[in-house]
Formats: sequence, C-alpha cells, structure tokens
Amino acid sequence: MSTLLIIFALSIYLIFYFTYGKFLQKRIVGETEIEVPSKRMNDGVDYIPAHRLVLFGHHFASIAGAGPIVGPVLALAWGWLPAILWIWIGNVLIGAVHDYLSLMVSVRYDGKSIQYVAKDLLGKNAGISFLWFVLFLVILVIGAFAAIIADTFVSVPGSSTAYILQIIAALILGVLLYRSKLPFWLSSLIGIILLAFSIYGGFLWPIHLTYHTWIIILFFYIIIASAIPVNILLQPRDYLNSYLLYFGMLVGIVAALMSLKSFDIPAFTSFSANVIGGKSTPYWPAIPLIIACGALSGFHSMVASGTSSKQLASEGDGLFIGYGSMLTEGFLSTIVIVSIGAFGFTALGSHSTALANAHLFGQNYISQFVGNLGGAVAAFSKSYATMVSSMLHIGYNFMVIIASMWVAAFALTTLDTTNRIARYIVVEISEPLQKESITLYKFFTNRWIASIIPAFFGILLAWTKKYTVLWPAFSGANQLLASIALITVSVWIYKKLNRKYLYYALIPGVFLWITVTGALIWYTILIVPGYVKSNPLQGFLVGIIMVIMLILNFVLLFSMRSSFKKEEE
Amino acid sequence: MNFDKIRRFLQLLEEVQKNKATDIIEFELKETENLFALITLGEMVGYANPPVSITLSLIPYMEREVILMTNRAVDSNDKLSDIASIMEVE
Repeated sequence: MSTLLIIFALSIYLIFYFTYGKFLQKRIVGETEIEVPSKRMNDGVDYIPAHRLVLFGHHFASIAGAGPIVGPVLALAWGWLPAILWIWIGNVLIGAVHDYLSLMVSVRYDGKSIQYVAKDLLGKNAGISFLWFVLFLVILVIGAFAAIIADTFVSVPGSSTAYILQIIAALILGVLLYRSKLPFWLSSLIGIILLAFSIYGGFLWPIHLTYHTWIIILFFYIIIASAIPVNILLQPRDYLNSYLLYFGMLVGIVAALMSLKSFDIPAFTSFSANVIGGKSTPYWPAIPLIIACGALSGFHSMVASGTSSKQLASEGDGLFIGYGSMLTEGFLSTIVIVSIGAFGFTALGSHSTALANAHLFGQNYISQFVGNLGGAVAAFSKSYATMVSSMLHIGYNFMVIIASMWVAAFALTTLDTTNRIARYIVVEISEPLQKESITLYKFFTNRWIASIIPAFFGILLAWTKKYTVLWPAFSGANQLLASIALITVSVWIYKKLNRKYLYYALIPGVFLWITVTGALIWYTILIVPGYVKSNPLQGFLVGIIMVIMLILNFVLLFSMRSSFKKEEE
Repeated sequence: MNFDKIRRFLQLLEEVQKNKATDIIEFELKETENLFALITLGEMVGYANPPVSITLSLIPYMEREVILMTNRAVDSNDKLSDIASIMEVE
C-alpha cells in the first residue's frame, strides 16, 4: 500500500503536470511577443536570467519548510484517505495553479509583486489587506512554530542539542566562508562534517528542559537572530539546512518506495474527528486550516512574485518552476502521510484501546497518538525514522534526531526570518502615522521595537502550549492570502487575458474564499470562546485577529465585485 | 566531451545547492550598494554630497549604480515579496 501510494502520487503529479499544467500554460497564459523581465530589464543584479534548475532549487527551498510536514500529521485524524485526497486535489487544482499563475502575473507585470498587482487590479484596499494578512500570518506562525519547536525539544531532547550544535557549526562555517581563504568546497565539506557531528552530539548529550524554559529561550533567540547580519548565522545555516532537506527527502522516497507495507491507521475515521483544540472538527470547511502548505499556501504567491519572476529565463520555464515545485512539495506531504500511515503504530509501540477502531482513532488521534509520540514533529520523526531504519538499516535513534532536526531547523529558520519580514511590514503599516504623530511613527519603526512587537505577541501565543489551536489560525491567514492571490489572477485573466478562461482561476479562488471564510467563522464561534476561557489574554488576541481578518476578507470580496463591474462598464 | 558534460552537470548541481544561500548574501550586498549610491548621488534626494573631488573621481564607477538606482526607485515600495522569497516562512 505504502509503495503503491507513492507511485500513484508520482503518476498523478506527472499526469497533471503534462495535461492540466500544459493547458494552463498554452491556453490561459499563452505566449507573448514581449521578452521576460529578466532579459528585457537585465541589470545583472535584480533582473538576471537563471538556469531553470537553479531557479527551481531556489523556489523549492523557499517554499518547503516545516509547514508541509506538520499539517498532514494533524490531518490524519480524519483518516489517511481524506488527508491525502486534499493534498492531491488541493495541490493540482488549486495550490499549483495559484503558484504558477501568480508567478506568471508577476512576470507580465515586470516582476512586480503580487501585492502590487492586487493593488493595481483590485484597488488600494486589497494591497492594505494583503499587508495585514501577512502581519497576522507572521505573528501566528511565530506562535504556532515556537510551540511546536518547544514541544519537539521536550519530547526529543537530542534534537535541541543537535540544533544548538548546528548553530555553532553554522557560525564556524560563516567564518570559514567569509573570513578565511579556504576553497569553497573545503569549507562546505567541513560544514557538512560539523553538521553530521552536531547530529551525533545530539545523540550523545540530550538537553532536558521544560517547555516554558524553551519558550523563553526562543523569545531571546528570535530577537537576537533577526537582528544580526545574515551572513553570520542565517545564511550559512540555510546552506546547511538545504543538505538536510534534500537528504531527508531522498532517503524518505527510497525508503517509502521499498517499504511495501499496508497502512496501520484507518483510511477513514469520521468527517467530524477531534482535530482543532480537542473539539469535533468538520472535515469541510476546516481541512484547509489544517493542511496548508502541502496542498496550497498563499505565502507562495509572494515567493513566486519576489525574486523568481525577476530571474525566470523564459516564460516556458514558468510551469516547471511554479507548478512543478508546488507538486514537489505535495509529494513531500505524501511521504509524511505514508510514513505515519504505515509506520506510525510501530513507532508508537503499543496499540492502546483508545485507538482500537476507526471511530475511536478519530476521537483520540491527536491526544493519544500524536500526544504520546511527543507532538506533531516528533510523531513524524519517529514514524519516518522507523520507516527508514527498517528499510535502509540506518540507526533508529540517529534517524529520529535527523528528522526532528530537519523539521525543527526549518521551523526555527522561519522564526527568525518571519521577524525580519514582520519588521518590514510594521514599518510599512506605520507609514500613515507619519502624518498624524511623528513620535509614534518613530517608536514603531525603531529597529528593536519593530522586532520585539511580533516576537512578543507570537511567543505570548505559544506560552499556552496549544499549537493545535494556533496552527489553524496561522493556516487561515495563509489561505486568505492565497484567496487574494487567486482572485487577483482571475481579475488579471478577465481584464488582460482571455475572459473565456476566467473560471479556471475564479472557481478555485471563490471555492477557497468560501471554505476559508466558513472555516474561520466556525473557528471564531466555536474554538475561540473555549480558548478565551482557558487563556483569556491569548484567546482574546487570537479572537481579535480572526475578526479583523474576516472583515478584511469581506472588504476584499467587494473590491473584486466592483473591479469586475468597472470592467463591464 | 562526455567528461565535459558531466562536469557541467555537476557544476549546475553545485549552483542549485548554493543559489539560495548566495541570494541572501546578494540581498545584503544590494543594500550596501544602495548605501553607496546614496552617499555618492545623495544630492538628488537632499543629502549633502561628499567633496566634489571625491564624487568626480567616483563617477566612472557609478554608471551601473545609476541604472540600478533608477530601477530600484520604481520598486522601492514593493520589497515585501523580494524579502519573502529569500527568507522562509513556513
């Protein structure tokens, strides 16, 4: 079953790439006489044509993080079939379409960002909503990821040591790369050896600290890491992380292909399994709040319209970069489903009575299965390690540390980079203040204040340890971004391309809008009050964020309506 | 001939592996270049210029900076996606 599923996923992705993807490319986007921005505006720095493989690597490394791993782990509460169906269908019909079209709209707009295009096509409100959604996304992602990381560090103590040693390895690599005259290959080799050593170090010296101690450490880490120059820590660490990503994926694919094992967890439990905050959660509309990045993610529209669109060497490469890398991410999520589906119970060790049948599994999966394995990341790491160690005969403990470090390292990169992005948004959002009160403007745009605000709110949210409540809120913000991007590209198709093909972007966009809006209303009415009761401060904060996002979301819908109307007139 | 192909392929793989990390450095380099342009051509936006003898001797090196600066002036309010595609969020 496990091998079949991997082969089936590969076939689906290939078939859709060559049929639906090519259809989008030929019929909707079409060809244009004008050269791509990377050539027409080539300045050797910002606009520069890149080899398609190089650009693919960059694009994929930017979109693949901890998100496509954590989401599917939680979604397995509904059973593996509903989870994998959303990953596949959402991916090929919505997520990859969203990524590809936002890349192409940016290419046709001289490499401008999707936020700029949204402002141009939908009006100023859309641009402002965009900024606010990103700010909320950033705060919620800090909350959700900090909670997930602290949880992982508590349940797999070796991963925390490995991670700290990796930071030291990255610092040393930074010095070797920029301060010494060692050849590049030698510094890289030393970096990789140090990385291997840090994993071994994690194996030898696990650090045992409490959840809240880790949260406090993470708070200071975020502030410091986001303030120091990128070439000291972030950049060499990112470089080391990409080895972890490719190694992890490659080993995972080989092991999953060899596994030939039936699934232990039920294919379907119920459409109302207990997922979010321990409450019965309807599959529709809540599924996009759980599986975000593996199926579709609004953040990708920013990546696609950032540097990728300025470096695309020909419009023909767009499908490979935009559509292709999203499919690869969906494939990563498929590996997550396979490793837990087939090896999760082996990793858990005992078949507890609370998980005895499909109904009970749906009810108790998050608390008994994920909880007993030590949280979402640990659940994946342990199942993945079981799969790899039984197939490829690599030590189990070693693989657990590699896998948890793989996911934790990505989640941690997210923490300090989100703060850099947040700093930029806080400054942008404060701009109108300049006219009202220059003192307030100066206060908010101060480098440290703009860093501390998002980090503080994020960490405050993480304090409650309830990542299953925070995760859907983060995904909600992310999916709303995706719906702005899809609505923007549908207006683009309507105004600038062929009206006949409007529905290929509008239907997924509106479907997503309705689903996510419905899910967020459900979340605000049913989940937030319980959260407020147990943690008033955090509950209110999430509640306020949700209400603002919902209002902005309706404003956006009206902008789209008036934009279509204007065109008719 | 075949060795050449293999070597080119390996070089490409190395570039794929390095590209993301190099871009982060490039981003910071760009910021530094912006500062350089601001120091030398700052008069356009109201900054006092360094002594004329210095700016004059720098002019031959500034051709590219001027092109970049005009490009970036157009994009100056649209940097969020640029940052997002270098950093990772999820």
